[in-house]
Amino acid sequence: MTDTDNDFELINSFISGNQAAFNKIVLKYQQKIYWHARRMTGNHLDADEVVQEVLIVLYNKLKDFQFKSSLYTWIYKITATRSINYLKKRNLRQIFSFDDLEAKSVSSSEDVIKDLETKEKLDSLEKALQKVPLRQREVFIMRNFDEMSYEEISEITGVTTGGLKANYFHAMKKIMEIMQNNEY
Amino acid sequence: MNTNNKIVEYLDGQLSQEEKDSFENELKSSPGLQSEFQQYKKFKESLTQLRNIEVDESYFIETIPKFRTRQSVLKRYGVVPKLTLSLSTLLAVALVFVLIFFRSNKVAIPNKVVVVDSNGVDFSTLLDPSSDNFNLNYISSNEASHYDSLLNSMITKALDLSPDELSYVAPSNNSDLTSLLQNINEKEADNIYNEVLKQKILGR
Repeated sequence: MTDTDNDFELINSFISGNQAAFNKIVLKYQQKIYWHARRMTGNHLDADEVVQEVLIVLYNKLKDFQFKSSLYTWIYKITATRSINYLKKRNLRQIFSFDDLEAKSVSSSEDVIKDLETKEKLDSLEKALQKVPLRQREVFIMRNFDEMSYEEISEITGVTTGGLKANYFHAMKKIMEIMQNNEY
Repeated sequence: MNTNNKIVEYLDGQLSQEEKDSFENELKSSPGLQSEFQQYKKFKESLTQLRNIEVDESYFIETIPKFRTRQSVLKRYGVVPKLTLSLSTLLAVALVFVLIFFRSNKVAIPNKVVVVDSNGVDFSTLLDPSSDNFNLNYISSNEASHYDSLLNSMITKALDLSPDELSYVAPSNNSDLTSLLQNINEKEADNIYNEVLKQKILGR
């Protein structure tokens, strides 16, 4: 049985009322959702919030899924949209000082990464990622960490492949400069 | 296409075979380009190391139970908590706007009502010692008739009457103020007093 067939059966089973099927879908894709949200938001607490929002959308909309794309692409699209919406809200909260991003990023006790060396490297990357515009950050993450093709990224973001390549180039150049010069 | 862009495209696997060969030839002959290329290559490799990070699995075990708890709260209360928060924020903002608006606008004071006698003289100036119209003899000698004329003027204004119509309303005999006051009973005096209070204090 292929992965797509498996997703098809899980969705149909969930639509028929099997809650365990939904749990299986979550178990299958939750790490992908988490890591996209984590790299976009730059910290564990915000990523956790985005994961929960994505699951709520997924639960409510799964019955309307029409198999026009793969389930992975569809879930990734929801995650990308939710992440960007969350970041826009977070920026607003920061403007009105309701949100302390520094406190969130330094809170290591709640983090899921236990290896300190890895955490340090990831912290540097996350801080550098926060310095580039959302659309550049998004394509950089999808291309480098999720190894998506530009066509797949275009399907998710709605941006042309030409635009995506330009964004990727700017992101790569800027993030490398920031990380090499420690300009966090 | 600048060199940086070519390096990124090369490492990203975006160049055609022809472009790739051309870039590799250029790379061999340019030490500056080689140095830059190595920087990008090293950076790209460091990113690959951050691709599969080991995480505490207990977090992912908790994701579903956490979602189910949140879902049950949402089912119980629906959108009420969010809606309440939005409405209270909206009300608070509206209140601030109203306060700012009223603070910047002076409270409107009703125009002073000018009552004139039959000669067109403002009655209040007749009683004001600092006014040019103030004349003690004039007031004492003509007091009753002026009060009568004031009363008639007020009735005419209030009922929008012509002078002829006024004669039907105002008493023709013993129409001076003294006799009028004498004819007012206690209840009518109370009503007039209350009406004056309303006009003066509440402005209605």
